Amino acid sequence: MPPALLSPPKISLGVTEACPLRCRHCYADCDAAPKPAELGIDAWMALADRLIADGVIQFYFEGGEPLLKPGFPALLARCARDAMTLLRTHGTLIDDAMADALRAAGVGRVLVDLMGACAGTHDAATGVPGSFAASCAGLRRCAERGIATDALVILTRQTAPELNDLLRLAAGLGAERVGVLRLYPLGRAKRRWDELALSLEEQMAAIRGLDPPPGLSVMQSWHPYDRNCCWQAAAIDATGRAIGCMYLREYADFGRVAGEGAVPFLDIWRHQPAYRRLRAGTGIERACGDCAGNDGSRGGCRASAYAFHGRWTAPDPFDEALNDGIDLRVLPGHARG
Amino acid sequence: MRPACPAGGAPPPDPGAGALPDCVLAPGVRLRPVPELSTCLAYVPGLPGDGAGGGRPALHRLNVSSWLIAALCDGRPPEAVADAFARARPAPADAVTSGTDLREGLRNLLAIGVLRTRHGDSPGPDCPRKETEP
Repeated sequence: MPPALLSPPKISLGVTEACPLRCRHCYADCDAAPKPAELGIDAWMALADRLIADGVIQFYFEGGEPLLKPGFPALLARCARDAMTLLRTHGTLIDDAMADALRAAGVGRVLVDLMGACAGTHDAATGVPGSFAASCAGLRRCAERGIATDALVILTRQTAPELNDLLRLAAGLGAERVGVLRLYPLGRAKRRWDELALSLEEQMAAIRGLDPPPGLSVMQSWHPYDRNCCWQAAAIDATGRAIGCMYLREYADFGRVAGEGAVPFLDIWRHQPAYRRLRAGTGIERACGDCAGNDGSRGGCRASAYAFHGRWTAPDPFDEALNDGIDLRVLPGHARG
Repeated sequence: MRPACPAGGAPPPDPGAGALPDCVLAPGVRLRPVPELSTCLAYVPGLPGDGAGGGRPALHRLNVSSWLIAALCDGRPPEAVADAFARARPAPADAVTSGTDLREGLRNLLAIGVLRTRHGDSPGPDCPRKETEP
């Protein structure tokens, strides 16, 4: 089966791996300072122009903390002229001036990460006292300005007992939706997997126990919503590597789109063999019948499948119909890195 | 009966009877055809000065019929839009069905801010646009 799309309508940009927090589960292994090889804002601007010319109509910005990137509001505003923009942030840098700037830039949606429903849990996860209050305030400021605002929470041993409290908190702050996200073995989360990860049974119990207040939508990617969305996945990391999906940041490198040896992203999209195979989804070993309708694809999340099986074609163990008895609390040797 | 504004504000012009509204693509709207999926994505940027919740940026997924209507509203007069729609619409139909589909399509595209009437704002700054999922 050939890849479905001739060019990507949507793309994720990890504009920096700098962040003022020190989250124990940080997928990007962030530091307070940017990594030396990160693209500057001028390079991101040029890249955005090219991507828009090539048909991108939605940008998802993440990091690191995108708001720490010098010049980011200008990049956001440039993209928002021609494309839907989504900004994933921990929110601590969203003071009144920044919230006004986001609104003025035309941001489409802000997604704020919460690491717990109370300061004790959240601040322990971030390693920064006061970060819970700052994240909540940032979320509220966006919502107050009429910006579409979501909260995100990664399901871990620490957050699971607080999920419903977090749903009520998010609704009270003005969030319209909460995304409950699975934990990926990337960065520091990989090294601290044992203290973070839940078994699939524990995860499913947490998901089935979700009780959102009226008016709040909940998004989740477990059965029966597990999906293989690689057919449309496009992402570029902070150094300008095309990596398919931000959750593939440690597993995939399809080539550089900026800096030395760079080629246009569209060339990578159309011609890089491994990327084409990933998007085509050929050879997926087994699929969940209940989830197969999601996104028109099969086998569930490829990043999770690869992390636990070491094969791009393997079934996703986070899907209870495909788990095959795998204990998600234990990373296989190849994934420990 | 004139359709109510989705958010309770001023209702959009009624294209359900009489002459077709004279519609053009709204300012800043960008269409991104995805023929591989038989759809067209339509980006509607936020409108400066709108109140909280109104005029939010949105990305809409248009079906083939709506995609055709949006593409035809390129400045040509309403009669020419109707004529071109009747000739090019995805499924063959009689003139009455074609006209009804066109009116309904125009109404929906006005409601989500992809189109505006040529000589007036639609659906109006006090009527937040309906959103669809990107």
